[in-house]
Amino acid sequence: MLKKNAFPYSTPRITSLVLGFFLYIFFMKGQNCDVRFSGKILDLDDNEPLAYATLVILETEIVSTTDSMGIFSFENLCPGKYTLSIRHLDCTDTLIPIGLTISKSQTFRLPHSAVLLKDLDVYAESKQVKATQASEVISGQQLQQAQGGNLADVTNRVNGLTSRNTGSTISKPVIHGLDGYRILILNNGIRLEGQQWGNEHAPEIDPYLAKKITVIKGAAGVRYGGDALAGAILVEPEDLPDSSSITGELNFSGNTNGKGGAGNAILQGGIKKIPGLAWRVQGTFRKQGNIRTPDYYLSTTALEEKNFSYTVGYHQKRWGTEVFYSQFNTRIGIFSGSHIGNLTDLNYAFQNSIQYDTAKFSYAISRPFQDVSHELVKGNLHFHTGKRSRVNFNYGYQFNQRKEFDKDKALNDSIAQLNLPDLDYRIETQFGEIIWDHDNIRSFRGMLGMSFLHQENVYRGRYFIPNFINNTFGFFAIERWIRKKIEAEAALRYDKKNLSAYLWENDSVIRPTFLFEGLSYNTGVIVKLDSNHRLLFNSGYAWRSPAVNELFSNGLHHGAASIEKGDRDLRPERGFNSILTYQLSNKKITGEINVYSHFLKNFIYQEPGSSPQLSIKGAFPVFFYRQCNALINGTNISLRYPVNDFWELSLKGMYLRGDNLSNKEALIYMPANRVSGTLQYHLRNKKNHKNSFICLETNYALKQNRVPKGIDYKPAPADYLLFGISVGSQLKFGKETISIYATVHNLLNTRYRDYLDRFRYFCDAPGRNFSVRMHVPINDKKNQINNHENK
Amino acid sequence: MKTNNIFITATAIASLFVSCKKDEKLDPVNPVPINQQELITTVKLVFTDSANTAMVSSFNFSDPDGEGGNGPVEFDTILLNANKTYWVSILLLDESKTPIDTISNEVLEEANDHQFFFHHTGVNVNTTYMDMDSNNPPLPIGLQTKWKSSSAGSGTSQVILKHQPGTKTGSEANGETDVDLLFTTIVQ
Repeated sequence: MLKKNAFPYSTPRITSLVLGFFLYIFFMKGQNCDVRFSGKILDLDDNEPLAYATLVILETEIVSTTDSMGIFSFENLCPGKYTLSIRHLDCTDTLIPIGLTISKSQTFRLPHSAVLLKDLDVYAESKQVKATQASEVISGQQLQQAQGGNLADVTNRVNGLTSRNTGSTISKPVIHGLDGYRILILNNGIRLEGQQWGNEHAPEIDPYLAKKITVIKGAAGVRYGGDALAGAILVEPEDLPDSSSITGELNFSGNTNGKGGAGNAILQGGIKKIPGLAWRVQGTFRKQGNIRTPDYYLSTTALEEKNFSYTVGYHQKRWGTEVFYSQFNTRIGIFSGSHIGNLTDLNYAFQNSIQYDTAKFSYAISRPFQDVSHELVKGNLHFHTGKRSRVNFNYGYQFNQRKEFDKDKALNDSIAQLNLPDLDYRIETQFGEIIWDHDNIRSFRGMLGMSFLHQENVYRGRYFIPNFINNTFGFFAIERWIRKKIEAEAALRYDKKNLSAYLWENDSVIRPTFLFEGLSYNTGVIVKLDSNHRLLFNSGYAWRSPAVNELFSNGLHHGAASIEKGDRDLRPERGFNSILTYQLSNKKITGEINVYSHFLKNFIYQEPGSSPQLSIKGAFPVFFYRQCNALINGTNISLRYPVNDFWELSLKGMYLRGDNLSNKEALIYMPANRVSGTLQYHLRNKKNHKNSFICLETNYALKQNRVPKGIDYKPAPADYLLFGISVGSQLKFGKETISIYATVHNLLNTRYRDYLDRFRYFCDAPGRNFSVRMHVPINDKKNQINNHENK
Repeated sequence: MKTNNIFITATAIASLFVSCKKDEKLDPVNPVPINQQELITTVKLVFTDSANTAMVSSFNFSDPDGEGGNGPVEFDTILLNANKTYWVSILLLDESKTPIDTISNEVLEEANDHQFFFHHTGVNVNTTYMDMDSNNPPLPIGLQTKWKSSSAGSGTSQVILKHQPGTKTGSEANGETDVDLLFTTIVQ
């Protein structure tokens, strides 16, 4: 558990919060666990029973399957609030909150893509339909095992995803070799608008916010607004609770490498006197000291993160409203050995695999470091415009401030005393959208929407990108035709973007303006060959306007020892992509194969110029933003094979090939091909533990042999093979079920470097790391019973 | 009742976290003109003929907007007479500030963390340090040096300033580069 001395820097506020939770648990009372919950699943359209639907009570992970009459039942449940997940091959996975006080029976009717609830005073909000792109959801136990780090640590579990790292603490997700602006990240439905223009700028998001993280691989721009040429990552919290009982969870994680830890608490409930009103508060604290490679500590690689959010919602039968606020604050030290004065220093750094700057262990975050904060306010108002349709108004305000502090303070004492960041960027974004969506009307389901975005960027300190104002307007329509065996979707979007930059040039402020507009579209089909096989095909086109840094950047990147120069004549990047997915799921084996192809016209990338630029610190190579036509083809394969009741084998592999069609060379910085496998042993469920497992993991990344000649500072690193072990269990302590996971990463303390890690130039990847994660649910059983009896 | 109390408590605790302070508001339409950060914009090598101290010449490098952006506006060729000894002092300036900030004074203050290095290629010039820091044993600084020219010729002189906080050992490999200039040198 969280001990005070494990977090010597934790603030009194957090300590009191945690203490409060423990006191709260202590006062909870037990009750009888003999509730039976049963019912029937019917097809909404024809009232036919749905056989072989899988129902899971997520909190307890108890599974039930419907029989040929569509009947299911759960026995021996404790009274409480649960989330029921219903999965049927013909339908979308659906989560339904249920409150149980006494045994009851219930009928659910599933339309082909959504669930409408009968006999429940909860109106299902618009659920996301199964994407026709390849998509993967991380939730439940899998998510619990991955939380405690950053977002890319979680999404790296998805086949086909890798990350672009700046050391082990700063990671950006990469989908099929593409990253940055080409991936949209949605925090509770609002697209994250931070400062994504640097490779060392990690997404400003707390994975503990999420109950579910969905990764869409392939162009997803129509719904979420342009730009998403490569895909989207949806970070979604749980729906607000429907009863006044207070529930929640505590999560802890601890790592040996970096001697770090994270604590997270979520509390949610309602107010008895105001039915329909619900709230949630959530907070995370994370701290970690210097990371160690197998041989040495990396100086100033400590970090500290403080995040919290709250949500208040009010839901009635015909309308509802929700306000969500979240704040993300992080301070991350940058390995000082990577902060370089000039090219000669860089060469010294390359030659010395062990740094002059190697240090001892410390929690101190000293220069060079980044200090990033991100705020989001989201308001939602929705009305039911009919039994199966709604109109949603969403508004989001985001404020992001990024401060970077160089390795050395100014020599002049009066300047040094101010301790101003060397880079200070602030971006404010306002976003509004109106969406009308409808569930199955005849065989159609879809939505119409329009959105508006207004963005202002300002800076102080060193110039890298200019001040700018950006206005984007778009509207879109998505319709899906749904039959039992087949679903087809067509989507169209129009966007218009107005960008004005304000910058000093020859002693006066100039104001170049740009106008970009265009259509994007997406088409897809899902074919259910039979109950075990499914085929998905998606083909889409998306475009993005060149970003401000690609147009205007003009500055020195300390870590890369290079000057980056934008090009004001860049044209929009256009991506055509197709992805074919085959899914197999039967009693013996589950698996998925994606085959994809991205053709990118005017793909924006960086290319080194022929002559270096002179400066007082010597000559620096200059990297120019250029455009080429690029082709990325690849395939992802995943398989899970339960050998018997105890042993399970799983395999994943990804293959990717990127080509620069304009100069007939390989595309730079594409992830190396890799395979991974796990061998898992499931223990038999016992009275005091369940879902217990031991898992041996292995990851093998090949050497990236396809690199353009003569461009990179250092050749691609060698292939590497890593091993890991994890164990996990849900332990019962009286009435409480606590999930515990322990993992050893890089078990053999292997020295390795990854091609997509910028620190590969300077140092090895982290060595062996032992980590523990714990998930403690908080169930207010006493209040729940009272609440339901009062109803 | 209990529910309400807990809700109120939780809200109260949570509200303690609200603290996104925004300092001075910046207007996107009017970008801040000056970089308040320190820049070394100018390097002056001031040569004094040891035989005739009235003979002073200065060879300069100047890049008023710092690294990146526009290129340097002044990069002089060092012109020396053959078989002479010069006293050389180095002046580092930040001319983007008013008044002009003399950075070399700060280097002298932090002499224990700084060292200049000189490399001559193709010209017959020798440089010796004339100043030492207070490290134990003392290490050279290089703000004050002696340049001895012999036969005529032309080539280059590289002037490097290293910032080596805690790692100054007299080796050029340590630390971060603050200045690295390759002057063309002609001995006539």
